[in-house]
Amino acid sequence: MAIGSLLLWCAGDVLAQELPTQNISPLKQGRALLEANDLVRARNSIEAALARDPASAEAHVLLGLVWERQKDFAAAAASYVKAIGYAPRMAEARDRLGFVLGQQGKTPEALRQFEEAVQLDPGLFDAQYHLGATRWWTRDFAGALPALQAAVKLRPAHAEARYYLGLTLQSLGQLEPAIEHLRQAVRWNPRLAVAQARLGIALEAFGDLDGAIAHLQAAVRIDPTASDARNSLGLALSHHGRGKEAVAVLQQLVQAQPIYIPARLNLGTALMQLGDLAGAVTVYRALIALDPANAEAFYNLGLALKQQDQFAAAEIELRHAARIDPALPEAPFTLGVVLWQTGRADEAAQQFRDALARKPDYADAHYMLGTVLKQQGRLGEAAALFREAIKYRPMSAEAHRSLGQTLKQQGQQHQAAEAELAEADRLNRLTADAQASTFAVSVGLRKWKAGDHAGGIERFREAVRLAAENPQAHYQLALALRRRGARSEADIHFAEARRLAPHLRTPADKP
Amino acid sequence: MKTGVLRLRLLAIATLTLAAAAIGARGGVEVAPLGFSFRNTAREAGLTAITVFGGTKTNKYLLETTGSGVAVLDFDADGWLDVFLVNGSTLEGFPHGTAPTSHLYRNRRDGTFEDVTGRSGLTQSGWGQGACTGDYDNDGFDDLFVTYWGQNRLYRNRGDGTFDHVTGAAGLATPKPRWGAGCAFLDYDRDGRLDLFAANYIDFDLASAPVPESGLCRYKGIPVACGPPGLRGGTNVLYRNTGKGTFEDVSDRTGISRAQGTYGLGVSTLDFNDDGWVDLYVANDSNPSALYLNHTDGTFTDVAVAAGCAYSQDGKPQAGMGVAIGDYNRDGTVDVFKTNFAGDTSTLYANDGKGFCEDRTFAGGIGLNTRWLGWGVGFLDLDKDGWLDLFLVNGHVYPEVERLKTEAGYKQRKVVYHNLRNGRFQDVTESLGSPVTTPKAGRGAAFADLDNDGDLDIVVNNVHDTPDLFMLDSPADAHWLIVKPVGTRSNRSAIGARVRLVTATGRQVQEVRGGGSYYSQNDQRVHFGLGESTRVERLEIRWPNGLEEMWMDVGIDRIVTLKEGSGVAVQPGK
Repeated sequence: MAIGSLLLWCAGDVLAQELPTQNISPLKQGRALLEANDLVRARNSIEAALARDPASAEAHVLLGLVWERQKDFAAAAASYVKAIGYAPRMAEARDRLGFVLGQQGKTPEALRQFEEAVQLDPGLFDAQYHLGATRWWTRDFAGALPALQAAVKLRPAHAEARYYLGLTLQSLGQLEPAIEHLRQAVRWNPRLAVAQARLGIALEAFGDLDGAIAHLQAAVRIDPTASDARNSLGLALSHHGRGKEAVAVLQQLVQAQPIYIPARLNLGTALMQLGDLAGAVTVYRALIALDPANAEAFYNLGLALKQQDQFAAAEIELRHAARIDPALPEAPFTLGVVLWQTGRADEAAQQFRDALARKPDYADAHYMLGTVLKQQGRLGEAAALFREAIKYRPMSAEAHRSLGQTLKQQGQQHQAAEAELAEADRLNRLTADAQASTFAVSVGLRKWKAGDHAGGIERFREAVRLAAENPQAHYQLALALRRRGARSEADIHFAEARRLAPHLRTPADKP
Repeated sequence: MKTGVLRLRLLAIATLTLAAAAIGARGGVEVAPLGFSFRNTAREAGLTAITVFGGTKTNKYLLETTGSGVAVLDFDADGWLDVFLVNGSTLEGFPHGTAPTSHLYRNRRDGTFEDVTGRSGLTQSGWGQGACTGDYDNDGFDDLFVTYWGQNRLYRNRGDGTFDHVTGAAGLATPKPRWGAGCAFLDYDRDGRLDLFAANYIDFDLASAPVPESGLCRYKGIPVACGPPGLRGGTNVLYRNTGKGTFEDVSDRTGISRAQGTYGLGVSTLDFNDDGWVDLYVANDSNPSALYLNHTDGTFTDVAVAAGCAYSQDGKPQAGMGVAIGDYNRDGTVDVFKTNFAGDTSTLYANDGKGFCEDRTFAGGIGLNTRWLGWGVGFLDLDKDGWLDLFLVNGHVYPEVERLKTEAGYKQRKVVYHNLRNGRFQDVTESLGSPVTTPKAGRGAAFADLDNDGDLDIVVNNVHDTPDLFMLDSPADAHWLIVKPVGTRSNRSAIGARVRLVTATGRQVQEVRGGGSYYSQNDQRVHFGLGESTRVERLEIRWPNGLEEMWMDVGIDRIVTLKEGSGVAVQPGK
């Protein structure tokens, strides 16, 4: 969606508030004709009005709007400048001037006019909205926020203003309120495809994959040409484990837009996740033919070949990826794994070092290099690398364990070694318990649905016991407890569920 | 709108998943003429009963996926090994009298077998898992232990071709169902009586196990049976033989129940530190595997993590299935090979003789295969050149993979690695052709010389299929020796005996082991390939009780039975 078109909609909304009438002054007639999009006659009427009163700021503004409609932004700007000349405190004229300046690519000048307009009339919705939206486009999110908040306050049902406010909040990391405004945007204008798409993306980030998919699907339905929305839908389906649907969506996109590179990359990935490695290879090879400098495509191709145990072919592609894009750390890393796996440990170590040169905080590369060196007996270096891996990924059980083992092999720091091994065990237990907790929730639901309410609650409690950080465990326990009348305890678990996963809201208490 | 691209990242050697690929793409490695081949003679030999195990197209629970094992034993003591194939069940069950049962096949000594299940007293249905053998009452006849999801069963061989079911009388009944997995007889306290170890896979309850429909458990996007991660792991158990026909559970006091990992599947005995006291290795699924080191005082410690025999080469837990033990590099120590899940390599741990495993998976040439999902596995000298090769039985866990486009299917070919005598193996599967390249849903496999011709044959238990009987045709001009140690003061099966053989070309070491492979029991006679050597200069046995004896000029190309006390005693360690 281009900034201009959204803003024009806004202007259209303003004009639509006044209806054309018969037997009126040239100025009023001009306004009515403008509204009816009869631009030639509108211009004649407005010029007639100006002939009578050349200092009519209102007439200059209307004439500016006619020029705007005719895409003559320079003429429009000249009209608005004249209007401002006659009525320097006319906020509407400054707002429109800002708009046409923006259309001419003069964003700083446009911003100045919007700011002036807002200062002159903080209650002018258009000015607040334009100021906020333009600041968002210039990535001044903090500046955009108050303007858009003011705009939304002035016109709560304005979908586009809600949309931009949602985007702004999301850019500021305030995901939950962002989602709320995006929901309002699609509520007030369900056909606003960009808002549907953005809401979908925000919901995915929020952990609500089902909601994300629903809104992305809506976006694609409204605007079948919306490539990014379709691409995002493919990704969301892929994340949801609905690989076949993801592939279908992405294949359609690739067919519709053969040069849309991200879709091809994601299609390959989706095929790999379905185990269709040969299919993925075909996709990546086609992409490389289209874009021979696409390092990601070479990298993915190398990975797909590696996973078919075609190590020699994988090595070629990975080396190519590493050469094309010196900033891509995954290429030398995966090349290192290929080399190590085929018994070339020294060369592998060199590739892991290359990966670290590209990305010094690459925990996996620290770990793998440490592992290779440990097996070569270079225990001191290995221990240092495992420590780096832990620094960048403290929850890595294998890094803690490998460090512990290395310290033991060094025959020193016995206590430190034991502490690392104990931490590895603890992290492993956490992972196992989290999985067990998820299963317990599932079984609890099954029991509950089968009418075994006590059994269901018992399982939900077990799920909470196993992993106190499992939001679904708290949520399902809360629902079950509330249905059994234990409201106060249910509220505690609702609150905990919401703290852990804010999208898990307490549902309405139906009798 | 920002355009999203999912960045693929390789997180480990075992990552994402793998699909079938053209073998030719491996890069033109020439395979020298091997001199050995296989024939699958199962049908002609009469091994024709189908093993039933869970659903054929989909499985609801992991219970339906593990398949069954094979035990070879000489139940009638005629010098020819017989075959016991464990059978399973389905969730739906069967009308009375029609349920599949395990099968005992008597070796007719002519390449065929006779199904003697009914008259032997071994007709039993249920979710059969593994089997192991040993003469626990030292009466000269191999007894049989079969594990189940439910209640494991001990069968005492009466010596007249029949077995008594003695589980309850032997004190092996458990108060609640357990998921018995791999098992092994062993004499851990060297009292001359075989004790019994059984791994337990999952503390599994149908009523509380999640199902694929929950959407929680997917493999490449397809809903599949859940677990084992997330399910409560089973606890391994060790039973001490009281010598009165009963066993007592000593799991806690011996330390067996305090393993670092869980989800035990394949089990084998071994003497890891060569101290004359039998140790145990357990291939654990999705967990660090276990190496129970025998402290010689009636206790064990799982040292696998500390010794480096628990994880993959890149330090991650693997889905261990089967285990093979053997001295592949002929350094005098026994090494460990473990089969794992698809998308991962098998694991080759070289025993450094100092208490540590050196992971030689990649250096040994094993890192090149990640597509197959391995189960049964054995070290065996296929060409009788004195160097142990490897035979792996494969098949996917989930029948649902058939719905995937290019995934290595549910039925998979075998993998055969030829020992290049330099610490490396070469995959020679393709050059062997059918039957090893014929895809099957393999599980347990036992390695044994069934025709007493001096090489080891292979029996494979396949899911929803008849078994395979791979008769090995090895080079006729290569010499061999099979030794059957018989304990007198030690346990009669001689499980735990270490046999060393010296020829002009060097030394070889073998052991008599309980269990092995996946859920199976291998030949308890030890096999040596002698290659061109025409003389065994010396053969030594360290008996399970510690006695060391020596024999000179035992001959070649024959099976020799050596009784404890019949050789020349040698000072331990000399």
